[in-house]
Amino acid sequence: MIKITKIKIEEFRGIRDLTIETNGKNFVVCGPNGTGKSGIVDALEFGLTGNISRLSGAGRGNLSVKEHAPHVDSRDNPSKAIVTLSVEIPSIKKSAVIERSVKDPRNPKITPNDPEIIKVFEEVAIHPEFVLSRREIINYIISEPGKRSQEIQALLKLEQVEKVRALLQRISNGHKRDLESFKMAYSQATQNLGRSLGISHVEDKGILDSVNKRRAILNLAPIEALIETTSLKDGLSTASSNNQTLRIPKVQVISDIAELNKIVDELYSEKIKNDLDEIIKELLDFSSEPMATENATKEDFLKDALSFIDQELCPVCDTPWNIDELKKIINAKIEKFNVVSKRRAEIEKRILPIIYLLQSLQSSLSDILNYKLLLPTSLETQAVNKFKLAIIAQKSRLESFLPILETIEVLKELKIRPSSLGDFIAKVEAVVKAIPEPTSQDEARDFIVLAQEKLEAYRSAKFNLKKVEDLANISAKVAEAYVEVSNSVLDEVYKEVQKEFSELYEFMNQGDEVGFSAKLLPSAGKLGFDVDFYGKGFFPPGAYHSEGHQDVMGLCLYLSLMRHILGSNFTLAVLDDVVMSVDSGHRRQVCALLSKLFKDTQFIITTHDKVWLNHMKSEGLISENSCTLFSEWNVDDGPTEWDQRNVWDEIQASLKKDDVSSAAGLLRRYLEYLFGEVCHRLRAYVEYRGDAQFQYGDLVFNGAKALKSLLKYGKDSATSWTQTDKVNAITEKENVLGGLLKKINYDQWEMNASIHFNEWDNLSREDFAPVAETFKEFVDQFKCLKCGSLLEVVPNRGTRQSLKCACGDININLEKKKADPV
Amino acid sequence: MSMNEDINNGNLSGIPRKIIEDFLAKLAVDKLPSNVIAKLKTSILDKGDISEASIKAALSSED
Repeated sequence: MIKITKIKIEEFRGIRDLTIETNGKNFVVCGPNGTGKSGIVDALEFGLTGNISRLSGAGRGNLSVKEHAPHVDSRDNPSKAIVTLSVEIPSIKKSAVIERSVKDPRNPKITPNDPEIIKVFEEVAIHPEFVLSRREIINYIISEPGKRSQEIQALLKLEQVEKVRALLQRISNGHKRDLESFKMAYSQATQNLGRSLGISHVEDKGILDSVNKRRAILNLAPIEALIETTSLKDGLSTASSNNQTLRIPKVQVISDIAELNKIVDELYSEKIKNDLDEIIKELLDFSSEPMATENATKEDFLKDALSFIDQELCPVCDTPWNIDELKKIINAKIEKFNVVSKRRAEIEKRILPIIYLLQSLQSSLSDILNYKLLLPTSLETQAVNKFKLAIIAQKSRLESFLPILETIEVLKELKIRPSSLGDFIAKVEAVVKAIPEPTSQDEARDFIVLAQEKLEAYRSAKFNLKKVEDLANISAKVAEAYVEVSNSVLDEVYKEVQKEFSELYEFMNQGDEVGFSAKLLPSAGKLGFDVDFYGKGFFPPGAYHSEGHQDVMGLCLYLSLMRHILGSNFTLAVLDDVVMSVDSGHRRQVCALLSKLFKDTQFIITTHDKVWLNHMKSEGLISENSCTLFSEWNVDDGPTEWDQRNVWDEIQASLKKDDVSSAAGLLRRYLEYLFGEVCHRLRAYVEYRGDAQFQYGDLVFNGAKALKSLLKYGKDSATSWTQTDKVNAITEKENVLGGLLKKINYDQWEMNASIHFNEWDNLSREDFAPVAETFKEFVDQFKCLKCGSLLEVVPNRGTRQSLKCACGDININLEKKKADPV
Repeated sequence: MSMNEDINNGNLSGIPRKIIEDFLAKLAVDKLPSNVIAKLKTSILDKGDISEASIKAALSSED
């Protein structure tokens, strides 16, 4: 992917106009809280993705990039809020510039307009995870397994894997549900066929025996075999051509009525009544759980909603949304449904026999009503037709389950046996019994016609059931195969990540937690994370490890995940104040980890801690000039960097306005900053303070003392090597320094370093101006006037060998020539 | 090749290519109808379409 070479920020967040040259190398932005460091992080994220995480997503309320990314004074003019990033792209060996405005964040201007470069920027845009803050660390390490799984899956871009798993499972479940009603229809058709043939078990021999017996009465040839196309009526029309009058098949109707009575008796039996009472009680209890009853109606909606969240805008109102955040919210809600869904499934299982009985009743009633045209017109069927429609509606309601209260109402209705049904059955029975007995030939003919009709219904039901069974079988196998394969692949991913994580963490804790290992434990949408605690067992990270160790774990897990995701393309990471709880020893290891194991990755790091900044320098993670220090921030100007030219210009500007207090304050703060650096580089002896609150006077005094001492060593060394020119040059520097020290009353500082500086506030402009000028000359003594860098003792530990500047123009040897052996 | 490179290597579904390929191979081992497998491949891998409608259509496409 990319490395950042330059960041230009205009009217964005708390920044008015700022340019930082990072040159594709590790870079640190350091400054106290509230000085604008986060603005840089936001700018990097916005410049590369068009979004700012801290202004979007869950829990951000009314914050938005469009309204709140511009500087507060430009909030009505988002076109002025612009981030321009110059980058180099190692994989294709090209450089490019991307300029993005808050007014039109989705359409950045990319120069040059090269498809290869545009593709790289598009890829970077879908990886906002290059920014790591402590918030993410907490989510990776100490959050609940479900949330951790979501965070890590989001980082690994695995939401789609889960989405497809849920979809295949839903389709499979739907097919299984469909199967139930087809089974019911097949069972009903089988019963009807058996009843019409007078056989208890439907099989070919029984069917043929029964039909051939009637065919013999009609002098029809027996049917030898029953295949799919066999018609039981074969030859029937010719044989009975002398009798075409429509008649009621008396024997069959009586059999159908008996079946109907049997179903009605069962449906309205005491046993079913008791079952209904129990189910109603369970449903009432189920509906009394507020979350269950309220959310159960939303469950399907939420599951469907997930499939619509694939664009950056709401498809209904076009409001922009954060896809990842929204999915997390919906998935968390769906997870809550699991318990409710299980209970619901148990109740639905109890309702199923009632639905079967209603289906049978509907089918049996239809059979009787089919004889309507053959029955006397005086027979009133309106009420029973209405009853049949009611049964269909009740069945449908029970299948739907929701709303629960309506389901309860249906179950209550089923406890009362309808009188109209009994009356109707009795009347039909009476009419049919009054019909004269048919001849044996009529009876045989009626029998065969009806048997063929039922056989066709049976064949159709069987065919449909087979089709749905096959579909359900395929769906189930597909869903199972997907779960098995995706789990297997993800297990491998997690194994690789946990191995890499363990190695990184062990590197971080060399000599302390030797043989450390960790376990990522995936299970049903969750991801457990247990770590070894000194060989005493595996525990969640928050159980025994300190907060600092947890922060280190978060950083290591992030780095291992990123390396897995991006491989050789992991070229940029922005670490936003992520080691605040880590002690100094481990911070040095962080430096070693980043510089040794992630050589090809550019880290842009923010910190409020100057000690940590010095660690990064001394450990070689960043070079001396690869950092910027923010001194202060104000709403009108944004962050201020410590830059010498600005400081002296600002002091002069304040003095021109007769504002000695501002000029004196600025000089004090600058000296405090600068001499912190000087003491660090010259390895000065300063009274140690655990809170790092060093007095500026102490720093200036001891910094100057160190330089004096080093110059003396340098002169002694040059003398021992008989380097007269160097002795003279150092002597001259000593004289200049000495003169300046006298001018600024250096000797008085030993008594009380702070009093001297506090008095500046009381000076007049005319008195303070030469003080500032003297300090400017004094500060110059600690620098190389050619390259501008501060002088530095080399090496930074152990025996002092030389005093040098960055360009080498100043290089004072500190080691004396050893005496020749006697 | 990292998982992300897989994802971005012409596979529009957002699902790692290894998962899709192993999945289709397992369906063949499980002896699912060849046209169902072919249609799932076209839908998920070639078109990147993982909508409910397309998956259902693929599953119902038995010879």
